[in-house]
Amino acid sequence: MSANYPPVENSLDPALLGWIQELSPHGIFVTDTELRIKRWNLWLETNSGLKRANVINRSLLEVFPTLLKRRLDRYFHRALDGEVNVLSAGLHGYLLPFQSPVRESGLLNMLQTSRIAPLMEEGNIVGTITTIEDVTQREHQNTIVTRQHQRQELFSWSLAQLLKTPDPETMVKSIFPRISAHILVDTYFNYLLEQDGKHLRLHSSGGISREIQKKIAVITMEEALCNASVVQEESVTVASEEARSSFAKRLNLRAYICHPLYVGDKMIGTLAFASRSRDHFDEDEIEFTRIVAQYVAIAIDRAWNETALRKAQEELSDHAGALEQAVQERTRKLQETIADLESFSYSLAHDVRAPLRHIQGFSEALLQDYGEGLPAGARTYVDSIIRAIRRLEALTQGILEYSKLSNKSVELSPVDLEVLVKDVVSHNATLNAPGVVTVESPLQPVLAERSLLDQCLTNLLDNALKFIPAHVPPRIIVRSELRTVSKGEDFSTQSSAPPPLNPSVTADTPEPPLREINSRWIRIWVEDNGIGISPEFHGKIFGIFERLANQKDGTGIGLAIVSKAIQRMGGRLGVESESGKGSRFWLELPAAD
Amino acid sequence: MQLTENQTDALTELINIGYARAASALSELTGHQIMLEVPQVAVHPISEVGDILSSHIRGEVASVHQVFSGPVAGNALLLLDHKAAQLLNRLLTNGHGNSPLDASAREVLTEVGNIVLNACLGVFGNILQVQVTFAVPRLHIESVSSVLNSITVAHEELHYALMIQTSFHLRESDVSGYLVIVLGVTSLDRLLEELERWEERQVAE
Repeated sequence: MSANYPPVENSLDPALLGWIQELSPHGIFVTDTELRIKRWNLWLETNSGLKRANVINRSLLEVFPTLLKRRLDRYFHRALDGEVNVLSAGLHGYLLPFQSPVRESGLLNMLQTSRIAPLMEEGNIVGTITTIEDVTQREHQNTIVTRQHQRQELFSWSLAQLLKTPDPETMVKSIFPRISAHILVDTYFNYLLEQDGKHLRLHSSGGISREIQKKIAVITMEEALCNASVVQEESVTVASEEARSSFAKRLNLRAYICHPLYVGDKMIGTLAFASRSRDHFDEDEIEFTRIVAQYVAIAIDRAWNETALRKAQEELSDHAGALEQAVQERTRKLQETIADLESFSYSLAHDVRAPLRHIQGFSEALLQDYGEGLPAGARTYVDSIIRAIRRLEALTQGILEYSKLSNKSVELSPVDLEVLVKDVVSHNATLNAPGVVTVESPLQPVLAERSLLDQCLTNLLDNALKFIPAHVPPRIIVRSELRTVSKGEDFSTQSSAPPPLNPSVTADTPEPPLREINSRWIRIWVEDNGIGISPEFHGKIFGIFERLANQKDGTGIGLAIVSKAIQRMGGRLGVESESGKGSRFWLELPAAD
Repeated sequence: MQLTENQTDALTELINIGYARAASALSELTGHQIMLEVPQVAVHPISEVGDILSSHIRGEVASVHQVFSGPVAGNALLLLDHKAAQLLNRLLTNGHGNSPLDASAREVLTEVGNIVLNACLGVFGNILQVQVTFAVPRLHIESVSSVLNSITVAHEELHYALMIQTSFHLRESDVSGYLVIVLGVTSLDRLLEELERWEERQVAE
């Protein structure tokens, strides 16, 4: 074929060529320069069905007219120009039209790879020589391998899509068209089971018109393509006319594969692939779609579980919202009621005062003007009336003050506690007596409304005096300590406070908002040597009109005013006490520096 | 040995004629518009070819190798790196993804190489007005050095390689490779001589 190959001994040529012709596993034919067939080997006889005698000396292009039609004659002409040509099966399919040796491939023609070369004799081109290799089997195998490869890729792709999507229910819909294209079907249905467990609803479909889609949107289990499979948990493939369900006949489907979608032993739907033109599915396709159906079942199940979870979360969140709203509503109503009550008590106290003064004025006038004429018993009664009126007067005064507190605007500014305490003490002769009040200097300045704090301290000191028995010399101590919020509401005390008598009880006032970490607070202590308060009453004493059984005097509103005032200033208060061991009241306000 | 500007121009033109023929044959065969481009032509001593190719082609290379003989004799090779070979096969046959270079793909590449090499050498033969005959093309997938070993003829004569960078444009993709024509110094001198004469004829016409 080329000058690079050693020449064959001339005398051996005919014998050798003869053997090559008969033994060759390829087709070999030779033409002259006019493209007349000069040699035609056994392989060609076998595969073309054309005997040597029928082709020798005939024109190649006449024996195989398709060569001209397919413009393959030029390769022979090029060979006559000295070129060697390779014709691959991939680009040409075949050179000469022979029957395919592989039946199931669906190919009509044998696939061939050919080589067309010049036939040289003593340096001159005397014709062409062509070899033909049958590559049908190889190509068929290649097709199968490629198909398997594609299938694997499709599996991986589908799996990846279904795994990564946040919405598998929608994602499965995008997988079906590709699967259908791969197995060459024109129609698919994906039904999902309704909650009643008896009906199937069309979730996704391809290859059917909208009208039909509407008609088959909801079907019963009996109508389904794979009714039997649902029961048997097995896939169904049907190709024969008799076996086709009425559903398939209605849609003109010739063959179909239907898989039930199972998760564990729970049937959740069906997946069917169908064809209007094919009448057969091979094992491979059934297995392939079975695996797809498994993927789909798991994906749908995942979607449903996630939906259920999301719904539960939403319900929980709705419930919490409703609860919050109810609390707000109740709080608002409560606040309205309190405001109404406060307004009512204010009006009452205000309106009661005028007739009270009348009674007081006339009682006093009675005593003054006619006292001497009254029998001693009557005078005692009048004295009692006057005392009662004074108490009532004090009570209404207290209620007025308490009510005013609710409406008063509060502005906090630094208050020198030491000056304030001295001021309060100086206004009360009993307190001002030597040795009664001891101020443990220094008292740290606080942020407060001065008038409110004045009121608080006055009330606390008055209260202390009131509960010291007459035979005991009153001893009241006022001191302060710095407290810092470390974490949450915990305090670290920075002064050396005496250990509490019993666990501190905080006043029953609404809690101020959570205190900032590292905020600094001043706790003001007012300690007395009075009768003390049993722990069971600690929670009560700051309520309005709460008077304890052993309370000898007072209106029961003094501590309520303190509590309200401290609450308005954003502070806290409490008491540590035990019956017979004195009381230690405390107020807490922000430090001023 | 270095080509003069005129020689380079003439060679490029000549190869372009051959490529036009190859491109039209490939286009007709595949039904896709295919263009073949020659960005660069150069001549190098055979000893330098390995280094030049290694800098452009990594790993294994698919080579279509065709021996030609006659008054001008040598080796012609179309070299594509593995990826380019896969891509070209896929583009030509509407094939699938990263299909391996199986027997079928190898034959397609052989045919493509055959078309390109025939077209080029055919043009040379016409210009030189000599009969060039070809051996059957063979496809190998191996390293660049193995390819070169197979063509380094144990000849005393100094060998040169005509290196033609080649780009296939088809279906909005580019596939690059090398066409390498290895010639003995005598053949190369003959070629360049004829080339000059051809140019003179062109000018005269």
